[in-house]
Formats: sequence, C-alpha cells, structure tokens
Amino acid sequence: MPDEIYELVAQGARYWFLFLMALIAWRSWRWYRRDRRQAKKRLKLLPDAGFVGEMVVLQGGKGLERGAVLPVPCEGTLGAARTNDLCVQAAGVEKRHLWFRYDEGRGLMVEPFGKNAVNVDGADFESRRDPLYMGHGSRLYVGEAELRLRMFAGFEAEGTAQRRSGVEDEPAQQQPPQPDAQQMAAYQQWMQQQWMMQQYAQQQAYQQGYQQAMAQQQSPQPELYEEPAPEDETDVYTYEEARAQGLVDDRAFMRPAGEKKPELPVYEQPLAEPAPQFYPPEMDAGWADEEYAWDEENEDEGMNGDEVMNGDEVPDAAEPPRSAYVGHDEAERAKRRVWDRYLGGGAR
Amino acid sequence: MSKRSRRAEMQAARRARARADRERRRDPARALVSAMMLFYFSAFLLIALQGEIQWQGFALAAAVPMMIYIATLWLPRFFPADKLLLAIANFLCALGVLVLYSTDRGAGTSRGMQQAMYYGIGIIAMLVCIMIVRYIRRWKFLMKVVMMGAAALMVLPLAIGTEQNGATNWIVIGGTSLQPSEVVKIALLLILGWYMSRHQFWPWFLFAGFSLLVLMLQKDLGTALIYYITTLLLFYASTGNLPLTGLGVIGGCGAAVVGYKMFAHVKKRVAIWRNPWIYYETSGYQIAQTLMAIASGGLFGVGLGLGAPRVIPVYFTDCIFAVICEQFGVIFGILVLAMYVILILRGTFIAQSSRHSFHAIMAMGATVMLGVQTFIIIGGVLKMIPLTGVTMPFVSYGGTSLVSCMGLIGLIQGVASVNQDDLTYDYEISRSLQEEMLLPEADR
Amino acid sequence: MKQLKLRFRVLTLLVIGLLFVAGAYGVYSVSAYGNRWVSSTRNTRYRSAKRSVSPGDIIDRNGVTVATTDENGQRVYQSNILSRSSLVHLLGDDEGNIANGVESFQANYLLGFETSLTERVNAFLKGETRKGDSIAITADSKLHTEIVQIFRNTSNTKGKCGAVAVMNYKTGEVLALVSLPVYDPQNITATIKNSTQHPFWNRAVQSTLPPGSTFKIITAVAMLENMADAQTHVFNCTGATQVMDQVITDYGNDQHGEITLEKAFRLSCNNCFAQAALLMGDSALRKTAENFGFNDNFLFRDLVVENSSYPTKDRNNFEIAWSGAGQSKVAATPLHLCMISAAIANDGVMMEPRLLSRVQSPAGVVRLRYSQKAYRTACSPETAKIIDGYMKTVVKSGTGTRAKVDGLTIAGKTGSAEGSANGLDVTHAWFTGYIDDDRYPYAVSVLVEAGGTGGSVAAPVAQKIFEYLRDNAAVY
Repeated sequence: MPDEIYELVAQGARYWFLFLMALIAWRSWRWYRRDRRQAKKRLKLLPDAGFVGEMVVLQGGKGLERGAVLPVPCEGTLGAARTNDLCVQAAGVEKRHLWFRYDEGRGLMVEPFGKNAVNVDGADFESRRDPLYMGHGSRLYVGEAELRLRMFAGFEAEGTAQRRSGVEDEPAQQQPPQPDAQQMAAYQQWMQQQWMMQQYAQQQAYQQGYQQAMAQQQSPQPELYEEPAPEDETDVYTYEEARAQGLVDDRAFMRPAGEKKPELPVYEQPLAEPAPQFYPPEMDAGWADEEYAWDEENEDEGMNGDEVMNGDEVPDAAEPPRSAYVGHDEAERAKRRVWDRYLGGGAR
Repeated sequence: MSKRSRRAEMQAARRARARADRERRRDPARALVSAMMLFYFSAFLLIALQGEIQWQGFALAAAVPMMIYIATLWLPRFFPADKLLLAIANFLCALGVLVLYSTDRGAGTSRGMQQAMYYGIGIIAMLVCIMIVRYIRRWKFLMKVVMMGAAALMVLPLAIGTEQNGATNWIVIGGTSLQPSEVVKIALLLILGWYMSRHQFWPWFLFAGFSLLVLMLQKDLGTALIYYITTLLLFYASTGNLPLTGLGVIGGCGAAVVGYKMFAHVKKRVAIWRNPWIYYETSGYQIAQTLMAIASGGLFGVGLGLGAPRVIPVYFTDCIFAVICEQFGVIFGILVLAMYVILILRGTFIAQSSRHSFHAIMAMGATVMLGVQTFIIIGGVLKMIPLTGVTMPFVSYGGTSLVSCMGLIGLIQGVASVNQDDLTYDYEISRSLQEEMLLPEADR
Repeated sequence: MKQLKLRFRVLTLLVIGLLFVAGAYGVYSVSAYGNRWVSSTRNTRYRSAKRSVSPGDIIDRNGVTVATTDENGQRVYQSNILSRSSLVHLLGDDEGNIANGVESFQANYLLGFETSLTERVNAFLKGETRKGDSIAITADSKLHTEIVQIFRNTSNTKGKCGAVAVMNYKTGEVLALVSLPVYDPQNITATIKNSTQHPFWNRAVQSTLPPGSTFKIITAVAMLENMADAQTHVFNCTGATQVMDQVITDYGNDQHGEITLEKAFRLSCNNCFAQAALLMGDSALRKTAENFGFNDNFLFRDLVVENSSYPTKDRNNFEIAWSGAGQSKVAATPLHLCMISAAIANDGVMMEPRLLSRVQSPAGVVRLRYSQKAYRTACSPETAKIIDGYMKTVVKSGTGTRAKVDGLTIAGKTGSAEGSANGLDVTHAWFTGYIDDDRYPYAVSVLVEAGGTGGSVAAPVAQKIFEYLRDNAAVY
C-alpha cells in the first residue's frame, strides 16, 4: 500500500483501536466486578466454606461468653485482637497469641507467637520441633480461656490430642501396639471366657423362653387389645431443664466461672481389659472415667456422630454435627458438575 | 394435532436456541476475548498492508487471535483457571508482539516473530507453574532444594556472566542467553510464601538478603529494587510488624543514599532524571527521546506503524511504553495501565479467596511483583522516577522476561485453581445436603 | 488469615496508588510540558514531516506575512534583510538554531498535525499537496525593525548585546521580543555560528541576569506590604552600610544622608533598600518576589520563558541586604521584568504574555482565537498606585529622566546590575517602564549587556521606543 494511503488509513484506524481498547478495558472491569459480586453471593450461600471445625468456649473472658462457638478455618491466628480469625478476649491472651494450621490426617497444629504460653490437653508448648496437635475434642488453654475443638466430619484426625513428634507433612503412621505372648494368652483366655459366658447366656435365654412358652401353652389367654400406655412426658427434658433438675452433670466440659481448672485425668491405656490393645486408642477413651449423663446404650453411636440425636439426649459440646462427608468419587463427580454448571464451566 | 404439537415443539426449540444465544452473548469471557481478537486481527492486518505486503503479518493476524482464543477459552477446559487473568495476560503479551512487529517494519529486525515464539513458550511456562502449585503438596524437603538451586542460579552470572547495559546479569548457554534473576523471581515467591506461612523468619530472610547482595554485585539495581520492595511488602503482610517494616523502608532509603554517594552511575542516573535535556548529547539522550516520543503521540497517537519510534535507544525493552504512547496515544497508554490495575485487583482477589496462607502469600507476592515492576518502568519512562533497566511485564521484548512474567501468572493461576477446587467441594457438600431431595436426578 | 487478607488490601491499595500516581503524572506532564518536548530542536520527527508537508504562513499583527513557504518547499522570510533579521529570535530559523521559536514551538499547527482526518481525506481526494495551518501572531514586524535600528544607531548601544520586550499590559499581547545581535535567517554563515556573542541565544526570554535596581520595585512593594511606616520611615544612607564585615555601597559611592522611601526610589539608593531588606527579613521579601513570579515554573501557552529565581539557599545578612537591591543571585529575564512593570501599570494584575492571535487552516477553518488570561495577582491596586507614583517621579526627576517623552506620562525604573562576563566585572544596563495612557497601554523593558548605567544607556533606548509607539501605535 502506498505510504500516503497507509498514513490516512492508520490515522483513521487509531480511533478504532482506541475504541476497542476502551471496550476491552471496560469489559474486563465489568467482568471483574461481576465476579466479585458473585463471589460474595456464593460465600453467603456457603457460610461454612473453608472451615474445618469449631471452637466451643468452655471458659471465656470479658468479651467472650461461655458457650460461644467460633468457627475454625484451616489456617489462621488466635488472639485478643478483633482481626484474628479466632478472637478470644480473655485475661492473659495476647493480641496475637498463636497460630494454627490444619494438617491433613493429624489434626490442628498449634504454635504460639513468641513466648506466649499455650497448653493443649495438659501439654505445654515447648519447641517447634515438637508441635502440638489438637484433635476432635481436644481442649486448648490460652490465658484464662479454655476452648474445645470439634472438627467437622470429613476432616479426619487421629484420636484425641496428644503430643506427636515427627516431621510434618508426612502422615505419621502409628502402628497399633503388637501384643506380646503373655497378653495374647490372656486375651485368648478372656475371649474363651466371653464365649463361654455367651453360650451360657444363650442357654439361659433359651431355657427361659422354653419355660414361658410351655406356661402359655398350659394356660392360653384370649388376645385382647391393649391400650398403649401414655407416653411419660416428664421423661423428655430439654438440656436446660435437665440441668436445672440436676440430671445433667456437665462439669466435664463446662466449668462454672471462678472454679479452678480441674485436674485432667492422666491418659493411660486401660490395661485391665486387654482387648483395646489391638486397636488404635478409641477417640474418647479418656472420658470413660468421667461421669456422663447419657444413655449407656447410645454412647458409642453418639461418639461416632452417625445417628440422629434424640430428644432426651444431652447435646455434648464436642459432638460433631451431622455427617456431611462425601466420598472421593462422588466429590470428584460433583466438582465437575458444579464446575460446568455454576462456575462458568471449562466445557463450554 | 400432530402438526400443532410439532409447531409448538419447533417454537420451543427456537426459544431455547435464542436463550442459549443470549446466554453466550452475555458470557463475559466470550465478549472480552472476541473484542481482543478483533483488535489484534485488525491491527496485524493493517501492519501487513504497510509498504510491501508481508505474509508474516497475515500469519500473525490469524495466529495471535487464535493463540488468545486457545489460551483463554480452550485451556481452562482441562483445569479450573481464572479466565480474566488469563485474558489480560494474553492481551498484554500480544500487545508486545504487535508493537514489536510494527517497529520491525523497515528496520530489518524480526523481534515480533521472536516475541510471538516466546509468547508460546511463556504459555507453556505458565502451565508448568500451574501444575507445580496444583499438584506438589509436600514442599518441606523440596523447598530446600529450590532454595539451593535458586541461590546457585543467582550466583552463576558472577562466574560466567556477560555484561549488558552496565549490569552483569546474563549468562549464555549454548547460544541462548538467559537472565537468571528473572527465573529466580518464581523461586523467591515460593520460598517467601512457604516460610512466611510457617512463621519462620531466617530461611527466607537469608535467601532474600543473599539474592539482594548478589544483585547488587551484578549492578542490576532495577531487579534488586523489585526484589526488595516485594519482600518488604510481603513481610509486612505476613507479620503486620510496622516498626520493622518502617525500619526496612528507612534501611532501603539509606541504602539508596549510600548507593547514590558511592556509585558514579547511580549519580548519573539521578542527574539525568532531574534534567535530561542538559545531558542530551550523552546520557540523557534516551529519556529525552522517550519524552519526545510520548509527547508527539499526543492524545490519540500518530497511528499504528507511523511515527519514529526507532530513534529511542532500546525502544524494544525499556521504553516500549513510549512506543505504545506514540503510536496509539496517551489515552491508550492510560488504558493499558488500567489493564495492569485490573490484573492486580484480580490477583489480590485470588490471593484473598485462598484458604492456605502459603498460596495466599505466593499469589499476592506475584501480584505485587508485577505491579511494582510495572510502576518502576512506567514511572521511569514518564520521568517520574529515575529510569532503571527493568522490563515492562509481558510487553517488553525478551524471552526470559516474558517467560518469568507468565510464570508469575502461572503461580496465581495455580492458586486460583486450588481455590476453585476447594470452593466447588464445599459448594457440592452443602448442595448435596440441601437439594438431594428437591432436584430430580436428571437435573443434578 | 483474616489479618493477612486485611493487609493484602493495604498492599493492593499501595501498588494501585503508585500506578495511579504514575498515570496522573504522565497525563499532567504531557499536558504541561508536552509541546515543549515536542518542539525541541532535537526532535527529528518534525524534520521528517517537513518533507511531506509544506508549513503554513506566519502573519504579524499588521497583516504582514513574515514567513511563508515557496513553490520549492523552501521556507522564505521577509525580503528586507533587516526586517527578517529583527524577527529571527521570535520566529526561529529553518535550521532550528533558535530554541522554541514560533517555527518550532507551533510546529504542530504549521506542519498540520492538528489537521483533522476528514480535512486530510478531502485534501487527498482533491489531489492537493499537504499544507499546514497559518498562524497570526501579536508581534509587530515594523516595531522589531525599529528597535534593531535604534540599537544600531545609538552610540552607547552600538554593537552591544541586549534585549527588548514590549507588551500590552492590559491584554498581555507581546508586541516585540528582540534579542541582539540579530542575524539573517536565510544566510547563516560560519561567522555567525562561531560568534562569541552567541547570536542564537534568545536573550529576551532565555538569559536570566541580575535585575539590579529594577528589582527595587519589588522591594518597595514588599516594604509597603510589610512595614506599616514604610512611606515615612527615615533611612540613614552613609554610602557604606556595614553588614557582616562587608560594605554595601551605592553606585558611584554616593551618600544620600537621611532619606525616605520615595527619595530612595527616585535616586535608587542601595543602602536604603539593603537596610529595608534586613528590616523586613528574607522571607517577606521572597514572598513578594514569588508573588511577582520569581521561583515559579513559567508554563505560558505560547512562550517558553526561562524561570526567574530568588535564591532560597545559603542566605546570610549580606546576601539578603544585596537582594534588596536586586543583586546576589537574584535573576530575571527581560520579558519577566517587562511583565513586572506591566503588573504595576495594570493595578497589580499580571497578564499572561500571549503571542498567538489566530490559527487558521488552509481551508479557512479557525482553530484557535486569541484569549487573554491573568497570570497572577502580584500586589494590591493601592500598592500598585503608590509604586506607580514613585516610578513616575523616577522619570520626572530621578535616575530615568532620559526616558522622558513629550506628551506622555512615562513611569519607569532604571537598573545597573553588576555581573560578570568572561571573568570581567561588567555593568548591565536595565530599564523597565510603561506609558500611563489608555491609548498606549504598553510596557517596555530594555537590557543592554555590559552597557553601563541604566539611566544613561538603557533609558534613551526606551525613550525612542516610547516615541515610536506614540507615533505609530494608534493604528493597532
């Protein structure tokens, strides 16, 4: 193209380029704004997004009520200042007291800033080489405050809190303790006993049943409709009512203000009964010593958190909410689905 | 009856198609990328027609919009990525290709084509960085390896480096020259992010101090400035320690004053900055020509391919912003600056929505680094601060620079993809709880 | 995390703020200094543009075409050698030897850079050659010629370097900006290029020299503004005021005894103003000087004027005392001194000097018309009135009697500034004044480098300019 004409065309084109540039900048800006709005909306839809659990305040302070629940993100700081992820305003808590991080498979790692004092389940923080981990139900003591962690389902951690030495980022592989020959023998003996007792009980039941049947055969009675007994409404208590009537002993997790920190039970393997030796220690084994006011029958299920809560159960502060755990395959499929539909989709 | 129902069906289908069309048109990614593609298509076509018609121009007119399309709309099919960030980075890269190609005409150089090649390599580098952030989880040992490797790479130019524009920061390996300090930027961000998120002070401090020292020895002041400011700002963000940050600022100013007193070339730079016109014949030539170029462009520019950009020394790296301003005008230049601002805003947005402070600090560091580098070079070109020889991110000619900038974008993208995964997971959990019973299977 | 993210916001604001400042600075500096950068004689872009565009005409205020382009694309100035030489510093020459002459400073008009795209397409379709816009300037070609002749014909100024600025103090139109020596723009010889008198130097706007006693106008304004008894205060002039073991002397070692401000102004008594400067203090004097445009960055639309300076560093009493008399690193250009007396004449309002009266495209579209603008308010009308009276007595019965013109009231102030040239002490002769007459609202300043005293060398030149204006200016 001759220079003359090219010059005219280029000079005309500069307005076109400027227009396109302005359009590009404007559209980018609009896109940016739109995405921010959507992100805000999405966060509103998902109030618990990004949290691994909750801290329940067992013992608060001036600005922190007892019984308050603080959501725990997977990383963050704890301190008295409002800008902390966990704002714990109690005597002895520094502005920035400690930081924590969720390590997959090992629980919530806790480390203080500087020389602040931190205690998890009776163990003091000593050095970085020996980090403190909190598991489901662990108690954290900072200053005058006492907090209990309850983790959401899906964020598995091994057992209760305890000190674990080791390198981070490589999941600790704790072998269950292998029984020695003596223990093995004792166990087998115990098993035999159990089996015999079971057999005995079955025989007893069978005999009882047989006798009853025989008795019924001897004196047959007409079948009558029996009015079911009205439900005893006084049996159903709310938690508060139960406490008021002294039916609940919540000393275990809620200490009245002013009372001193209770002596924690020393964690020991119950050697009296050999059976648990074979398995990793049960999640709440230590609590068995404390008095709990719930049904003996439901205890196990309650701890696993699988069953639906009954009205007459006392909600425990550290009990996890209903399971929201989704299997990996399902999550992967779900991810793609949502990605496609709601988040702009790679497929489109 | 059947006729009517068929008609109704057809109408419904038409309506559905219209709705889909509307949706697609409203899709911001499509709207933005189509405008970008139109821009580059017309621009390269125009340059191809200047003087003797060149087939390369037509090839670029097809290839560059295609590249933008592939990189922004097609790549994210394979992993969740932030399309806006991708679009802006690609736009800026392509702008560099365009400006370099337009200055090639009549000069006998082929920087435009080379830059297009580097652009492709840059996209690959970005993908690599995304993979690194996305799939490497166990950093503890690896980080030490990265640190050692980066330190070794940093020292390399002192041993076998070649001097270029007064700074010994290039090494030549097998015919290709490489600027290690650009690549180490990515390692620096990984190291800062990792150790700052673990609240460990000494590892990153020693590494940053070491690299600053090496950069000083190489007399690469511009890069040293970028490293220093990024580190200082991230230190502030991760600890909130204002007194120490203030001390860092004061220390930096003190170092600047000492440098000014000690080094003759720093003194010269400052003198040129204060009045380039009296040093016109010697050292002030570059900045004076830069200012003339910007001013002669005026508001709307002289037109693509016109003007005299080649009279500016190193117009293709340091002063490329002046070339943009001359050819497209000051308003266009301001809009380019606005694109950088949106890039920074987006980077911050991604860093803020990250759940792991390693990722957050890394993404923010990359964002700040790009922003600071942009400011240093644009402020220098506009004679606001003394001109230091750093490149304009994405736009300047140079393989290493482009690759490292795309690497930084890759870090941010990796964080964005991890965020997206986390969010999707959460979203699906709560959705499966809420909607399991409400939605039919087909619609899920 | 929360804290981290809150601080991220600070970081972002910081970085974006930096980029915003850079953008704002760029827009500001391009809009304020852009045409200065572009019109630099070193800009190769205009030189290459001249190959394809024929630059437009320049017309003076009387309609005389002072510069045009002939059929061969050569730049042609007036046919009379003296006429075209006298305008050379104002217009500049084709080689770009003069910094910021109209030819280069308004090149975007003259070379058609402001031509719109439609105009260009029209011209291209009609097959016309590209032609730049024509410019009308406020200067008077005849006045320039006259001034050069006055300089050449007066024995005291013959062969000397100097500068003259004439402007309308009510509107700010610049009538003449002459710098001597002049040369012929169409015949630039090696002798001119190698001359020790630096003929390419546009003295009227580029050379900042100590204003000497003419600065006493500003000292007097400062006294009236800062000293309650300024008009009645009695100074004792012994002819040698001791300041810091050094002595302030008067020109010719005069002794004036006990005098008041009016007499001191009339006789231009250094001792009196030195004492006054010490009495007021440096900051008061500097503030008044800055009100009159000293230390300001002159960004006039049509003219590039070197900044005048009133020193701010290394001040001691001796320096301050000499500043009161316009010495000691105080420096101003002839055009600025002209603006100072114009401000006094215009009741304290300083007008922005303008040179461009109209820009017209070849097709007749007027792109720009003259518009006047006040540059700054230098002092109050009352103060201006008093100084006006003082300046009139200077011409009536003081040092400037040789500027007297029959039939007009002239106000003025002479100055004999001590400077150095080639290592020798020299005395620059200054005169700045104006005609106090609504028919002839003109202010004049004259500089004769190394000329001698202002009263005997510069004032007669000013007198002849006033006479010329009286005889010819009624037609404007």
